[in-house]
Amino acid sequence: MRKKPLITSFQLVMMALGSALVFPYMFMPILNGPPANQDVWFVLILTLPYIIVINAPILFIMRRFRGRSAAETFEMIMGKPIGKTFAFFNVLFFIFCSTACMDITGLFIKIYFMSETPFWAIIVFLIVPLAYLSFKGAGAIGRSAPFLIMFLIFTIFFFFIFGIGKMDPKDLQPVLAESTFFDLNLGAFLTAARYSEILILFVFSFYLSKQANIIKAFGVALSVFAVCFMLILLPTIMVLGDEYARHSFSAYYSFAGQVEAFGFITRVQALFVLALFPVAILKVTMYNYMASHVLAGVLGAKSHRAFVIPFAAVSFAVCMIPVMQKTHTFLFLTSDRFFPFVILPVIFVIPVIMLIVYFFRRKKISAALMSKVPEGEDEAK
Amino acid sequence: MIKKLILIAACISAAVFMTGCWSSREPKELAIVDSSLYDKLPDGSYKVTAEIMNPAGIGGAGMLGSGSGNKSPFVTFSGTGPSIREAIKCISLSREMKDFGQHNKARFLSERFARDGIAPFLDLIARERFTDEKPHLIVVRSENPEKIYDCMLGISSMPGDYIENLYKHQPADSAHGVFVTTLEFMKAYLTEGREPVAGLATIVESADRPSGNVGLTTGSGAGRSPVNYRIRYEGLAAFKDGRLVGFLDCEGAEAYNIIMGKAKAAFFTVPVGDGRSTVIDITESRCEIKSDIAGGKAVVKINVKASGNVSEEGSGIDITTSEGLKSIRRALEKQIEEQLSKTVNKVQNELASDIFGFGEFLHIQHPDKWRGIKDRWNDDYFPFAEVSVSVKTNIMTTGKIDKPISLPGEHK
Amino acid sequence: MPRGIPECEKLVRDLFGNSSDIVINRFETEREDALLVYIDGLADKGMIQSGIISPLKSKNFGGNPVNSFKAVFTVTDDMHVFTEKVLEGYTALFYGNSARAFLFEMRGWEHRTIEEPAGEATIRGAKEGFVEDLRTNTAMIRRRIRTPELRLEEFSIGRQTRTIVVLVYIEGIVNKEVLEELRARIKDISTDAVFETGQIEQLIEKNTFSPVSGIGLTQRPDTLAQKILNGRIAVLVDGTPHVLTVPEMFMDNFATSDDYYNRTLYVNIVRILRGISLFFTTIIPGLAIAILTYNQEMLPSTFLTTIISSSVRTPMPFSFEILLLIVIFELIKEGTARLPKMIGSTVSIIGSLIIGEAAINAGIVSAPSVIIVVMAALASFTLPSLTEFVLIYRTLFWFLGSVMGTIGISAGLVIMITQIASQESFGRPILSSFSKNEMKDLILRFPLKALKFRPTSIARENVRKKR
Repeated sequence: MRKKPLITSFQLVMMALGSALVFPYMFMPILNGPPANQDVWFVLILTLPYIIVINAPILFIMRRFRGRSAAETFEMIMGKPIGKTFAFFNVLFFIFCSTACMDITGLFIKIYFMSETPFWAIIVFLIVPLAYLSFKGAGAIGRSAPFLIMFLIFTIFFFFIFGIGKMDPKDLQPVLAESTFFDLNLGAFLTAARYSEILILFVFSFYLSKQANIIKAFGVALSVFAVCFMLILLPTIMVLGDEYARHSFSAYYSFAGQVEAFGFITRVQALFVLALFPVAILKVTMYNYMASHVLAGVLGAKSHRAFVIPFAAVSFAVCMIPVMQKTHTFLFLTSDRFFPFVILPVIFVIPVIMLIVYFFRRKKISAALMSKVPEGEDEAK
Repeated sequence: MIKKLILIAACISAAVFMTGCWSSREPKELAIVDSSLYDKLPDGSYKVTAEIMNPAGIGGAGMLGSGSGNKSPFVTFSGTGPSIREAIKCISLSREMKDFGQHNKARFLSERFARDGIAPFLDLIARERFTDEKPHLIVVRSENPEKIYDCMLGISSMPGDYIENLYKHQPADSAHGVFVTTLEFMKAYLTEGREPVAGLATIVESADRPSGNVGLTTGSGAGRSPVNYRIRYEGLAAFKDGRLVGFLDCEGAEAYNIIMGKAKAAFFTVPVGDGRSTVIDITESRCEIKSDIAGGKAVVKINVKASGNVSEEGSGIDITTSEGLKSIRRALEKQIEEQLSKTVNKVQNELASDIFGFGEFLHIQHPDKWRGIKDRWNDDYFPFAEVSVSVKTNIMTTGKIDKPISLPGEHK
Repeated sequence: MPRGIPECEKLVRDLFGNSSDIVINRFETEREDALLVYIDGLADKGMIQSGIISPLKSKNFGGNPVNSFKAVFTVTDDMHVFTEKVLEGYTALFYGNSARAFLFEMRGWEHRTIEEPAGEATIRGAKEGFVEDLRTNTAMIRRRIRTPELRLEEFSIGRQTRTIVVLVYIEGIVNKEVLEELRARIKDISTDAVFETGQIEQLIEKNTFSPVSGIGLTQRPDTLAQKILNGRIAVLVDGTPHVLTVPEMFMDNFATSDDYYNRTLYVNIVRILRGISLFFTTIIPGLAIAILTYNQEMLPSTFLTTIISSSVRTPMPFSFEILLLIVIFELIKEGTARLPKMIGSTVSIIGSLIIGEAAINAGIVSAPSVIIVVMAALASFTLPSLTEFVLIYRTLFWFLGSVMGTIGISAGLVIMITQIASQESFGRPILSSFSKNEMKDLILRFPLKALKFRPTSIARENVRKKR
């Protein structure tokens, strides 16, 4: 690659937003976590401060180390051997995320749409665009993201507007009367712990231009995400009722089936898939790319391309293991007993450790920061 | 090198995929289910009848020279089995096309089936891929529920379409019927403090003339009966714990619609002495329900605010004056109150099923009190609840003329 | 160069092998002999007569031809230069015993008059289009851009054809990196013959197999002038009216020069229509197949029954019907383009009517398929520069839609967008026109008064100047 590709902050916001919205769109784990009643919308509001708190350490590190790749940042703070280990740990985490999302999407399609199609065929349709897009690199990912995600947001608004007629506010009541404060906070914390999109910002901030403001990007992404999630959550509960929504595998999908427009556009599930599937592909691609990119940084390889196909093959092989195709596995993976405990160490514990080390070695690191000149191009916005 | 590998892989996968198309269904090989009937036979097995569209009988626009005159627009298939799913599977033993249930418009439940409990049926619908929650649930009140497929359908061509059109157009003219989709039913079933209802259809004999197409070969092979049957869609079927417990007639259904706020055209004939009456058309009703527990008993206050228009004035009262209107309004309010109280009492005493959702309102308004008694609501509290109804009406317009025709004008 | 007229004459005859259109005219003057060499058809005989022959043949000729010529000339003693120039249409004169030749640029030949370009008609705007003569074309550009910063760089490409290729750009606005890259690539071309800009386009592009080209094409001088003013470089080739523009962004396929001559509201409606029609024409056949074979619940039931009843008699699965119709339509299109005008219109009428009606009646295809393919084809007419793109992706979506339904369409959508997003045109990604300033003229066009900046995806310097 001759030049470093550039991503605008708008594209970065779109990427993080799309990746975060895949899970609520596909199935809503927030419904099943505590307090598991009609106050989930309040849990969602409470999630926002928790997200800010959990992501604060990594945001701080990102701000100090602008212009450096993720692997470099790890090494600079922790020193080469431990830094490489931490970075490698992140690589494993990214592959895990990519594989988990691939598995979940494949299961979703198989259950709802194509039960006769063999699982591998569905996964192939995820892997081929994944390999292609990841190969083309961060610039292509950044430029394609806005189109796909704008379409997703459009469908969210579409479903919301045309579902208004069926909404019943009684389903939201009694408001806040039946949940304990502890339950609400626990639910908010567990939900906040599920979102690893901050790492997308972390890895891709390397490609941002000098003027872009990471904190502003994070803030914009968070607020738009909150609005969209609310627009997904509220209609689902108000139309299906929270009990039935909890019984469903994919509550938003059942809601989308109820939406009626102008009397003849009914059962628009195809629109649902058309919006969701490309963004799911984008999400697995992003995690795959991040894994390849960080591993390339750790091993000092010139480009990430060598790792794309091996990682994709690994994801494919893991998804083909029979136990991964069972609903039971899937329910366990997405429940509160598993996902948060895998994600939390990576987005919180590790950065906190790194922050502590950073404060101890501040002088040495600042000197190192000044001496190295980060490469990149000047960008006229 | 990489490019060659990718090319080869692409060719192989293209070849593999061309032989695949595993889940594709051509439109012409679909048997589109338009409505279905669920019945439970006396020996305990289930019988499911599916009414399937017959495209040749409908005569689409693209068909030139098709002989649409002699074909029925729908055919029926039925199957029996020890469970509903097996009964559905049994249908495919005779049906030659692929089943397509996503355009189902109405699910008819026979009385026997409904009284037996429909919880497993709801589970099947929620779980299976080819069903969804949009069709209307209707209980058929008749000893031979399959006769519903022999009924005259007015101008519609198929029973499912007929029900769909009823749903779209009946509420604008009458509030005697209740339309419940499967989703609404399931929601009410799962909500604490509320019991579901379903629509009610009765098969009656009728002397009306059939349209030309009926009386043709149907799938069930039965010959044409000399008497014509019609579907009367009025009233509602009340459930409790997933079992049918009773029916409400047309007035009861009207009361239910008013309490639920769904009545768009409820007509009240208000007698005003010596046999004459005024007819008021209630077009909008808003109902405020307050539930509470006082002294170990449930206390429910229903406040109805209704607005409507004068539809027929045959008693000579001058409705352009405010006294005239007031007297009518008082009589109207009293009549509505009586009808509502009668219905609520009947539901409390005979059906013992909280179809109005008083428990739900108690849950919303006093959640702490609800928590203690929610298991006993249906049996101990609801049937003995003190329900008071108060109605306030507002007569908005008097139609195209103001003074009644029977009243002499000034120039006479 | 040899001395003496007879030797020169022999040399020239040997060189050109006695070709019948080489005029080698030996004539006498008052003093010494002179030899005139030019190619008949390329030289302007009137000017030769008045500028060379008359002064030399006049009674007052003093013996020094340099003083007598009534024309501007250059002198050369290099045979290669002499050959090149004569082949370009120059007139050469040998005089006496001097071993030099005088070269006069008295060129003139027949070429097509300036008329409306065939493929790029507009409602408003000039009706002029480029012609095959390079000098006429460059003159048309000069007349529209009257600043001295307009530069023309000449290259001669092709060993046998020695075609003149000219780069046109405005110094101070153009992107220097792109210019360097373009120069390097043109110098790298090594081929026998160049007749058309299409050949140059294929020889300098880096993405040979991509359906999206990173190089733009136009036949209109006013469009070209707009593009040059935006910071692009134009490549003109002598002998063809088609001109390349470099670099080319993806969004330029949706814009015509008309968009700046008409008023805002109308232009925006038309642009939105064009944007929709891209998706229409590529995705609709595949999406229709996907919905009709995998997601029938999305259609209203009356529509579904109509489709079923009209497709009951057809033998093929729906996807093959659409494929057949797409192929037939492409055949009609290709055939109509090649046939002479008179027969062409008849064929298209016959083709559409007969094939449409008869095929439906015979039960080979069903009416819905015909409508879908016709809609897609109509939509493709609004985007003439994307025909290959549309064709390739329409086929891809057809395949994906029939194999995997909406999942396939989604995957194909991602692949299509990735392909466009990763494409680069001379170092600039073709989707990079989404920055804040460029948004004003991207999908919707803001009023002309609001368009103050040049597109930063192309130009780097002088961007902030008011237009």
